[in-house]
Amino acid sequence: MPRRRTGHSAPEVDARTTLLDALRDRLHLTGTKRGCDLGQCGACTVLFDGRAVNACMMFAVVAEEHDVVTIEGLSADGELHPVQKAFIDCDAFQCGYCTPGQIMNAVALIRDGKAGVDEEIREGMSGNICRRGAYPGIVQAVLAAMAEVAE
Amino acid sequence: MNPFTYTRAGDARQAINAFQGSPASIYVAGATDVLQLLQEDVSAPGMLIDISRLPHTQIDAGPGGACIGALARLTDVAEDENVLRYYPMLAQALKETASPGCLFDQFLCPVVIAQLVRLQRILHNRPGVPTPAGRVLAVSHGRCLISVSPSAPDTADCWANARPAIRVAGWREHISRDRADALFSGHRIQHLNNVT
Repeated sequence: MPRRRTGHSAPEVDARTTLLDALRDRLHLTGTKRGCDLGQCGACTVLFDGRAVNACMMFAVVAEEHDVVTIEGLSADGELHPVQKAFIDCDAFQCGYCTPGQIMNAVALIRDGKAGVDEEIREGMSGNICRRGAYPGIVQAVLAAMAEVAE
Repeated sequence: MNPFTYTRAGDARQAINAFQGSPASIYVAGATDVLQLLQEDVSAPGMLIDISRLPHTQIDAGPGGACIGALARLTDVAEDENVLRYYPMLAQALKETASPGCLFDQFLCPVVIAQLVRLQRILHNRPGVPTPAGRVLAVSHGRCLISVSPSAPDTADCWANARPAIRVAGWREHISRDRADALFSGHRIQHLNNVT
């Protein structure tokens, strides 16, 4: 099972258990959402060694000894991550169900320097679906967070 | 989903030994694509051999050919400066595959091939568009071979003359132990006859 920055112990799981199931059902880290369970909506996006991956499309055993960061592990010392702040400031959500996945992918995009302009962000975030259509706010939030990180 | 066992290979020889010791085994890198097949009971391997920690992530592309390690990620290959320069068609095909997995993946390989075929067809049908760099050479029984010769002619002649090529190691093959590293590190193929 994966190590987490917040230090959860690694439970024994069946080889068939997905990372998403392990996170939600065994570690009770329910911030990572189950959407399509087909790797198509991005709601379950987590960082796997810094890369954005769909937790529903990965076996938990594959993540053993790797660095897995969920939305719960993003803030430090009680302070929100710049991307989290930007999503609030830009009102980049409506129901919020897709938001953890959106934020985790945005963090990876910004880290990779692929969040410079609208078009780049829309392409990079295209694997994260928002049923409420909050995309303008999401792009705005990623741009704002990118600018803050750059400073 | 049928039950299966999981083992992680520390090096190429461990991977080969596990593979040869278990007839129903398959190699996986991230197992993203095989996971879906397992969920739908399309595939039912007895063992997954995880080779993701092998070091073969090299991308060595140049005007004379390319050699890509089995663990190179699609996105890394697609964004490689020399792949973009000399093999833009391959880069585009890889970029358009949604999965971020490895070329090694025996289930993903056909997707990449399909993309190449599709792109080739699209580009070929556009007047004035130069012949795309890259030819699909052979796809059969899970075997994938992609020629990325920049000078590959847009005719059937390329089948006889194509060189060099990328060999994507993603199929069931019995090899000697001393060739284990070569299986995963990729190597150039000078003549198509070598693999048919």
